[in-house]
Amino acid sequence: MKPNSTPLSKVSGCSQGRFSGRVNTGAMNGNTQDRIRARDAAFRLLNRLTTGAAVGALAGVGVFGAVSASTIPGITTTSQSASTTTSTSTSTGTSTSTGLGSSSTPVNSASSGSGVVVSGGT
Amino acid sequence: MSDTLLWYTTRGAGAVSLVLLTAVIVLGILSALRVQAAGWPRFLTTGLHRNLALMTLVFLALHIVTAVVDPFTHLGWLTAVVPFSSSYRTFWLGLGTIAFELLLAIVVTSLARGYIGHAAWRLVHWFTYASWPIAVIHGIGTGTDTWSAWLLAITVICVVAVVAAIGFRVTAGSRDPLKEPRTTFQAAAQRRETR
Repeated sequence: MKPNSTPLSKVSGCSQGRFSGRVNTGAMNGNTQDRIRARDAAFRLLNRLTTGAAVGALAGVGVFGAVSASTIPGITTTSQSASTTTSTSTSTGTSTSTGLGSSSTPVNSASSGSGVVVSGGT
Repeated sequence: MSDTLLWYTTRGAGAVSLVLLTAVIVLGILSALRVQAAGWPRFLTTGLHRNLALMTLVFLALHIVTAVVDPFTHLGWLTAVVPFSSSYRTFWLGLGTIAFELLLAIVVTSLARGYIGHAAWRLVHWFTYASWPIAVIHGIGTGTDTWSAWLLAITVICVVAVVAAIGFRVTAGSRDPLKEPRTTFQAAAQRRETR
């Protein structure tokens, strides 16, 4: 054996100090539980906020769409005669539907009242 | 689906996208500042920032798809990808395309952050500061409702929020807790090298 060397039998094999038994493990566990609870609560809050934002954004599309429609609806003119209904709906100009959507033939059945939709056709 | 409904949806989704994008920017700045409080840990800011960024893409997609399929404008799908390729309001729509592509790049690099590394991710993330104002200018230039009171109010609120957040970030400086130790270490390392 070399001088100043420690025999293996004296080495504990553990790099850390011996457990003294005076560590308050109860407090540690309580603290860890608190942190876990706080983390879970934060995750729940994140989920709620994300869901709320998604629902709010969807509702926002509807609300803003409705508001934009009421402020600038485009040019919509409706003229009625006994047999035809012409409705021109324009984004910022043109998009014209005449009579029954794509039907180019006049509508035979007369509609009464102020409705735009006319049933029937040729 | 009627073309006016598409048009209204485009406008509504555009406004919502602007609000969401603003929230994403503000949350991103707050997370860079490491803002936290009791009941509001830092990962909540980061998580909300990420979720809202993904949500913004969804509503931007709705905004773009409804605009492209609207038969009035005849935009075509190329307009959604290639800036300034539209015959309709070329410049303003081109800005919108650029803003969208920048945002897409930011989100994709964020999702692939583990692969591309922090430096590249950070570099691309700086484009956020370009994407947001380009999106706002696109809205002002293209938007039918730009001078309507409701959209004007939304735009002003968004601009104020982002300017305030940037101002807060600039004045607050770095909240990096490792900044001082890092500086000390680098100085020590330099001294050692010069010796």
